This record gives sequence, C-alpha cells and structure tokens, in this order.
Amino acid sequence: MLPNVKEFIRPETVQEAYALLEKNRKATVLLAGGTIVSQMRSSNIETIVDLRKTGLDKIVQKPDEIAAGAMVTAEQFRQDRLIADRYGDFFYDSFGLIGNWQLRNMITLGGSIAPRLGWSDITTCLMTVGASLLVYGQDDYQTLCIGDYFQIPSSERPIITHIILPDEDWRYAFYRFARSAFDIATLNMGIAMKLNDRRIVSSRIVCGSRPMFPARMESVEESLVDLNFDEQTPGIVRSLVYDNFSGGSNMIASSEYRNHLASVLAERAVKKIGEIIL
Amino acid sequence: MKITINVNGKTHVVKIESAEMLLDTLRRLGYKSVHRSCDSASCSSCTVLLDGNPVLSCCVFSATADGRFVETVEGLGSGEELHPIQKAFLEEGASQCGYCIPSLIMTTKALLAVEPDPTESEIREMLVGNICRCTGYEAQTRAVKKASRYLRGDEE
Amino acid sequence: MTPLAEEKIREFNVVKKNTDKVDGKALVSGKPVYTDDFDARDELQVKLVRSPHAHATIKSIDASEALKIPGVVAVLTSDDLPRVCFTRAGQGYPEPSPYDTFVLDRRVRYVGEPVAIVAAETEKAATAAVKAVKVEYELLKAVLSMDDAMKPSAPTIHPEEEASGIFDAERNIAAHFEMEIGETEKILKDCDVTISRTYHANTQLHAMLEPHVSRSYLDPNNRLVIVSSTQVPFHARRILSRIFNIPISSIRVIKPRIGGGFGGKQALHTEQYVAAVTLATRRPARLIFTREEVSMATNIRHEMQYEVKIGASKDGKIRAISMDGVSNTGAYGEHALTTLMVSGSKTLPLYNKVEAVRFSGNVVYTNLPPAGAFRGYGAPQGLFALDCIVDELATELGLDPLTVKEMNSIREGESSPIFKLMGEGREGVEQIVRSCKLQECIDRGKELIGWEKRSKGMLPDSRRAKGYGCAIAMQGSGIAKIDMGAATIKMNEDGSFNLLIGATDIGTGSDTALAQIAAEVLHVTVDKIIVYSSDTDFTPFDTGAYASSTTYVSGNAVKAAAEKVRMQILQGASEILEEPLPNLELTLAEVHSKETGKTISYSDICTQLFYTFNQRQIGATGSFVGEESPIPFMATFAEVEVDMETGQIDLKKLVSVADCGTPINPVQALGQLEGGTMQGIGWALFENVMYSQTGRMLTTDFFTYKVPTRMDYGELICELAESYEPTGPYGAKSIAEIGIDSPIPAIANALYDATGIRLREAPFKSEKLLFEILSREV
Repeated sequence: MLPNVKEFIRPETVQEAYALLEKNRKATVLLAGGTIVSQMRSSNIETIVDLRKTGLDKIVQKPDEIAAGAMVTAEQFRQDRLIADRYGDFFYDSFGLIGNWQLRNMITLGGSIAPRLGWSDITTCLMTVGASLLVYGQDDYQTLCIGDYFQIPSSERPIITHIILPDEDWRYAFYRFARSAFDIATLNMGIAMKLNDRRIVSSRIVCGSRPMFPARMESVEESLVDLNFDEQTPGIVRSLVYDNFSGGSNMIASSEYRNHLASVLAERAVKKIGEIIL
Repeated sequence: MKITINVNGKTHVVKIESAEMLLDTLRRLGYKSVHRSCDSASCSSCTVLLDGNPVLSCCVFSATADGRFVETVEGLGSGEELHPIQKAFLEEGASQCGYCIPSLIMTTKALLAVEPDPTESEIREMLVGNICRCTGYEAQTRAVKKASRYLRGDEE
Repeated sequence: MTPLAEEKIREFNVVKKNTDKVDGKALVSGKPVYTDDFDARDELQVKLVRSPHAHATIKSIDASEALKIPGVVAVLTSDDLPRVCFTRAGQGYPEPSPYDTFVLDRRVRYVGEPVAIVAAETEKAATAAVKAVKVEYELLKAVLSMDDAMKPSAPTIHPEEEASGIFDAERNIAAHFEMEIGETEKILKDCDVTISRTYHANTQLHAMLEPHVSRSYLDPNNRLVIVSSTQVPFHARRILSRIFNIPISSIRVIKPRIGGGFGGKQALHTEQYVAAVTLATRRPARLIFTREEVSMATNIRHEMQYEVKIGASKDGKIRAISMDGVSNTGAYGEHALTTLMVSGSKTLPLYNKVEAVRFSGNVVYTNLPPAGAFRGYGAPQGLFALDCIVDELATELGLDPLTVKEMNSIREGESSPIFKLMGEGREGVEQIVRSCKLQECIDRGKELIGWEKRSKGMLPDSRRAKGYGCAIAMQGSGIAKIDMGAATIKMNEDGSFNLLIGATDIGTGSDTALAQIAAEVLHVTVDKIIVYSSDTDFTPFDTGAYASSTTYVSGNAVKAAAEKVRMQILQGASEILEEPLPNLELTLAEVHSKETGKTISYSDICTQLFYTFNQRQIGATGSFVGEESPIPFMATFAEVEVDMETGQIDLKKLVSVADCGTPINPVQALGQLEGGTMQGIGWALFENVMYSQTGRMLTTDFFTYKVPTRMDYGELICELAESYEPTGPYGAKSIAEIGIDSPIPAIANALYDATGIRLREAPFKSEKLLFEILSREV
C-alpha cells in the first residue's frame, strides 16, 4: 500500500488529469485498473489521479481506424463487437490467455502499456496489429507509435488516451509460452502478415517477455518481403527468428531457452497464418 | 475522504483513507467473507462483484468504488436458506478449509449469470484465478455443475 | 490369528456416508470464523522487524525514531525477552527436535528472521515503525546450500551454548540417523544387477490461503488467552508456558476455523510475538503475516537428496536397498530428525522382501528459511528416490516397472523389521500389516488409466511424445505410542450431545468425521452431535492435527468416549424402565426393550436424569494412543505428453487409488486424496522456490511461486479401495498425507517413458527437459 497518499482525485477530463500530473510528477501516480498502483510501496507518492471518470472507456469506429479508450479493460476489449468484426477471434483468443477473468475485468489497455512491462501480452498483441497511441500532453494531442512513446523522457511523458487500431486487411497470430496457466509469459510472439495473393508484402514479428519490452524483429521482417508464402515459410521464419533473437535471462528462463521458444512460437504462428490462407 | 457504496443492497457512507483498498473497507464494514490471502492480485480469495463483474478487492481502490454496487457472499441466501450455489458447494464437499470459498462462490455466481450451463472447460477457464490449496479442484467443478443444474431447475 | 480386512467391510448407519461438513454452512456463507475475522477493542497491531541478511550478528538496535511515531506503543528486542532456548516445532514432549531457537536472538540465521517486535495502535503506524527501527549488523559468511553446510570452511550456524539436542553443531549437522538390517554392501555386490542413482527433491511452500495469524489478550483473571491459526493448540500452550515462564494453568489457546495448514501451522510462528506484546503492555495484540512473511519466514519443506543403491536378481527380485541422504533444515532444526526418519520408515517397508536394507542421513543447517512439517513429512522425498530407482532397475533388467513393484511389495499379513527399528525420532513399534489393498489399488488404477492398452511414443503431430508411469506409496496413521487424543461427550436433555475434542480441524473435515463416529456409536443422526474442538480450557488433550493421526487416533478416542456414554444411557434407561440391561438396545435416539417392547427416547432419559430421577449428568471422556500406526497404501498412474520442441510437460491424466480403510466420510476422504495429489502435482511440475545470491527467497507471492490452478492438469481421478483396518475406528486408517507421496515419481517415470530422459531433480522444468532433449539429438 502507498503509505503517504494524501489526495485521491477524480478528474473528469484528460486535460484536467494532465494538469494534475504536471503539478508534481514525482509525487503523483495515474490510476487506471489498479493492479499495478495497488502493488506500489513508494513513500514519495502523495496524489493518486484516477482516470476512471475521464470517459476513456469506449471503443469507437473512426473513418480509417478504431479508437479504443485507454481505460477499456482487457475483458471488455476481447468481448467487443467492433473488435470481433475487425480481428475475428484474434483478440478474443489471445487476450483470453491473459491473467484470469478477475484480472481481465480490471486491467486496462493504457494501464498495461504505460508501465512498460516487458511481459505484457497486451502490448505484444497491440504492436502486432500495428496499433499506435493517441496521447495528450504539453503538445496537446498527438499520435505516436508505442516505441516512440517511451522515447519521451518520463518527466514529460504525456497521458495515453486511446489506442488507435488501423484499418488493414492483415493476418494475425499470437502465441505465448508460460510455465503454468496463471503465469506471466516466459516469452510471447505475435506475427502479422500482409499478403498479396501468396506474396508477403509486409509483416510484423513482435517478440515480448524476452524478458525486455516487446520489440519488432525488423531484420526478420525485411528478409520476408516478397517471399512467396508456402509450406516452407514457417520453417524459414523459425530459423530467421532463431538467428536474430535478442533477449536475456531472468529467474523465469535463460536467454538460450527464450531463443528456442521464440523460434518455435514464431514457426507455430506462421503455420497458423498459413492455415487461414493456404 | 468519504464514499458511498452499496453492498448487498445496503448503502454505506464510509470514511476512507485516500489509498485504501476495497478489501480493507469491506472487512472494516464487517463483510468478513472477503478474505485476504496473497494481497497481490494472484489468488482471488478477495473476489467480490463490482457492478456485477468479479474483481479483486485487494487491488481496487475504495475511492473508485464510490457510487457503485458491491456484492459479497453475505448477500446470498436468505436467512437460514442457502443459495443454490452455496448448497451445491456444501453437498459436493467443495469446501475444505473454506478460505477460498466465498470468493469462488461469487465468481461462480457471475459465471452462471453469463453462462448458465457451462462445460467443464469453461468452468476451469473462468474460475482459473481462484486458487484453492486444499481440494484439488475436482469437487468444485462438480459443485459448479450441480449449482448450474439447481439454478436452471434441472435438479431439486 | 488377527482378522484380516475382508471379514469386516460392511455398511453403517452414519459412518461411510457423505454427511455435510458440520461447519460447512458457515463456511459457504462466509461467516466470520477465522482468527482475523474477530474485531477487538483497544487492540495493538504487531509487526516484526526482519533481517535483510542471511547470517549476521546484531550489534545494536535503535528504536528511538520508531517510538516517536504517533501510535507506536512498544518496540521489543531480545533484551526485553527471556533468553529461553526452545524449538518452535509443535511435537509431543520431549520434542525430538533440537532446542536451537529464541523468540528473538542476537544472531540472525536467514533472511526474514525476526529481529524486533513492534506494537502500535494502528497497522499503519506499526508498518512505519518497522521501517524506522535502526539495526546495525555485523555480517557473517552465509551457508546457502546443503553441499556447503558440512564443508570445513563453513561457518557454524548454531554456536550458542544454550542449544541442546543438536547432533553436531560445529559441523552444522542438526540430526543424524543410520540403520542397517543384514549386510547390504555384500548383497549388493552379489546381485545380478546393481544400480546407483542420486535424486534430489527441492523444497516446497505450504501456501495455505489463510496467512499465519494470532491474537492475544488477558482475560478478566489475567490469564493469557491466545486465539491462533494453529494445528497444535496444546503444544502451543506448553511451549508458551516454557518460554515466558508462566504456568500452563494461566494460558488458554483457542483454535477457531483454520484456513489450511498442511504442516505449515504445526509450529509456533506468531503466538510468541503477540504473547510477548500482551505480557509487556497488558493489552490485546494481533499479528497477521503478509504473504511474503508466510512464504519466506515460517517453515518450508525439507529439501532432500538421496543416493540410492539397489540390487536384484535377473528375475526382478529386489535383494538389497541402500539409501544415503542429506536433508536441508535451513536455519533451525524443526522436525529435522523426524522428517529424515520418515523418508525411510514410510517408504522402505514397501519393499519388505529384501535380504538387506540400509538407511542413513544427515540433516544440515543452512542460512535459508527453516524447514518444518509439511504433508508427507519426508516420505515423498524418500519415495521419489525409492520408486524411481525401482523403475530404473526394471528398465535395466528389461522388465515392466509395475511388475517389479508388484512382485516385491508388501502384502496383507506381512511385516517389516523397519517398523521396529525406525520410528519418529526414536525406535518404532513392531506391527504386522492388518489391512493392505495395495494390489486392488494397482488393479483399479491400471483400469482407470488404461494401462494395458497404453501406447507410448510420438503422437501423429510428430512433436509431442506420450508416456505413462506408475508409483506405489504408503504412509502411517499417527505416531504409534506417541500421538494421543482424547474426547469428552456430554448429553443434553433434548437428546443431543456435546462432543468436545482436542483434535484440531484445520479444514480437513475432521470435526465432521469425528461427529459421525460419535453418532454411529450413539445411534443418533449427526445433527445431534454438537462439535467443539481445540480450546485448551474446554476440550481434553490432543497432540494435534499432524502425522495423519486425527481420524485414527482421535477417532478411536471419540469411539471410546461414545461407548462409555452409550453404557450410561443404557444404565439410565434400565433404571427408569426397570428393565435389566441385557434386555435393552439402542435404536435411533431411543432405548428399546427386546423383551417388553418398552421404549424411551434419549430426550426423556436425559430430562429425567437431569431434573427428576436418580439425578446426574451422562458424560464421559475417552482417550486413545495407537499401539501401532496402520498403513494406508496407494497406487498412482500418470499419463504425460511432452512437447519435444519446447519441453512443455502436459499432465494429461493422473489416477490415484488409495486404501484408507473405511472412509468415515467418503466425500471428505476423497477430498483429502484429491487435495494431497494436487499438491504433489504442483511440487512435481510448477512449485519452484528460488533464492537470490544473498539467500533472500524470491518466490514469495503467487506470481512467482506457481501453485497449480484448475487449468494446470488434465484429468484427475481419485478413488478409494474397499478395505477395513481392524484397529481403526469402524475400520478407518489415514488419508490426509498419502496423496502427496507419489505424483513426483509417477510423473518422473512417465516422463522417462515418453522421452527416454530420466529427470532426477524435482520439480521437473520444461527448460531443463528441452535442453536434455536437444543434447540427446546432437
């Protein structure tokens, strides 16, 4: 429990929330689903700014994209009609592997990305579908890709208000490996492919829980451009991922093990994409 | 600060500390069925229904529950009469030490509200967060199935 | 000759029926029944200052800043407490565990060891005070593995002169045991096949959901009252009396409902601290542990490693076994000797036809969390080694492992010299196995797993490999000639009975099983039995809930008390009805004359005896101590699939069939078996305790320590074999522990069957398995 909190504020607009954050960043924490903030023990935090009333809990279709509010919960997102229409079972299935029902009712999209958790399946999945972030800060609203958001120094970092999901006709697959059913991923892997007939036009290979923050394997993506998708493709991706993996060791697994898992999960993900198109 | 919460149909106006957790508030109000075990969102012993959805009260800030509806197992059944879910849990021996049971019963209630006739794999998937160290889960699966039959009127 | 099992399997009125738990309605209703559910006025909240170092001496403690925090009432250090050396282990007296512990010491021996006690008006103030207490340490070299403990360079962990009962303090050996029957080495040399292997079972956390908690206060007569989540209220009273030098008559220990124990509450973890605060301040006090404290600073399972040798003739007859072990007791020697002995005494008699057998081991101190009692109590560690080496031997001989286990294992009417040689902490007792349905367990298990038609090898997807394994196990029922239980029954004028028992229901359902035994004797329905358990002021003595003792030991005590009460009811009826005793019999809540047909209800008998006729109280106390410890048996079968590309182990199916004699309450008995089995599955596959390089436990929550969930296994089938133990209450023996013994070896054997790789360190990890698979492919 945070021992020195003196104020719990429930602003009704993002602008108000940002102003509160700016007042004293070191002593302020933004509250989304609560699963992270409830575990904090810092005695520096004196103000909690709750984003619950800021209206960021809706999923809306815009002209070329879907905008999901940062306070949308994982369960709400995976059960959403718009998301199902656009992505089929991709999010329903992959978010279904996250935590458990209770946690999915609490954890939010924005709250999963903002703490920069290496093991977040949500972040990997969102990066796989090419999501970007709509953020509000000193430069008003702007759109950033997830990686760029963390380039901003934490002392100036804006508030994530929406996850922007582009309209695109790609194929997606996600796999995670964990030591047990309720465990953070030892490694997770999301793969997206844009195909023209059988030709790979473009792809996203996103590997998370390495244990570092999810990252795209751009050299693998480049090697795949213009390849014809056939029975050999999963094996090719497997060896490319194996050769290009960069990860680390921690108490959950060694880097060598993760390297193997990354290549195997990538192969399986590509096979699954193959099942859809072949 | 002061919040107003409705627990099992009863309205409480309660003074809380800014960073207080719903688990602490509920226990202070006398809802002792809400159990503290891991205190870190990983065992589900503190599950309550918040506006009908199962959540972990050990990581819900009480202030965010202001104006909302909370359900705990104290609200089930009437007088001496057990709720069908409670009855099924008792009959199937689904409770040993009982510490995880109130939260499991509430999660089951939420499950049966969205899926009145769950399969064994749905039961396991939806209740996976509810850790039980005593029973080995088998009797609990039998109990949830029995409860669903009770509630659907398939079994007296 | 003693009657054997088949002769007495039968049906009963109340016993062997699925009565609802007597506390079940309260539990499913979420009633306030646990220690922390009771609010108290003016109560101090207690927190402990804990050591961040694995091994250090305390140079100074400065509490002045902490005492300035508003609401902080007291900070107690070792200077404020009596320096009494004791063991926290809740065992019979005198305890077989060394006296090597102080409530607070000037030396710390593991990360998390208490250094000072803080008491404040609020939990928040207590937490702040813990941070504000300044402790200056002088660091000592720490021993962080079993291998290092006995090295000449290792520091001595227990140099204190007050300690007693340590086998060899200078070499960090808390306990040692060895025994031999026959000439083991000679026969091993003479065998057609002899193999030697080493197996290592790592520690495990109890992870009971209710944290350790106790409350204390002084009653109006200034007696110290402790309400505690404990498995051993009577031992707690005795130990507190010794520590604080107050008479047993001035202490009352109350056990409310308990949220799980598994051995983890068979020691004093919180009681001494609240008692210290209440005695110092004269105020009520409460201490509830955080999950981190439960994990790193109570007790854990003894990590054990066994080097095993086994020799057999070509036809599979096992001729000699030798087990040489080392056990890690951590910073303190709680249950050190006894868990070591049980790892031999409750495994080796399975193979009673050997010509020679040898068992020896050292239990060593390390600067890791203290190990203690944990379901199985050494037996699963020993069985991992023993069952797997029999499996490996069979492979070596080209025989079916199950056939080798069947042909060499103990049977009804047989005995083993080990029963006499190895007890718990001392010599055991001679006994023959009066009931043993091991073969029936095996046969039924084979049927349930599909043993005869099993197919192993790669599945059609050519990435998963399937395999099957089996293991057989035994336990005991209480500690013979040590565990004693007592029960008092008194009759009320509505024909109900109060059953007062020292036996400690920690969630097992023992209150219900014991009520059923009383109801069976007294010819009433279970609702007529009002159970009150474990309050040292109001219930008779019982050693406590451990060693699979309650149904057998306390159950026999309840039966004895009920039989006395039954006689008194008949006597009362005889006086009232003016009929000779031999004419009378009990029917449901009535006494009936076979001669005259006259009938009188229990209610009438008791009402008259209370108020109008030959006035007196019907009531009696019975007690029981086992002359032997009847053995439950079990066969376990596992079906696994291994993902050969990731090493992921998928437990598809696990079957355990146990012989526990008569199941007093079949649903509850099955629940014990299923629960124990699941803990065994957890230990085999998921529950991995990790430490930092400085000895701090890293796996203190359920994100890092993986208790199995309901999605972590495929099918689990547990069944009970029909059996009857002649010395047990209505034929019962124990079921509480045995379930945990066999999943590790059964799964290890199945993994070998699937992959050809033999894992000899539990828990079995996917990463390790994958690299074994890869190294073999190269």
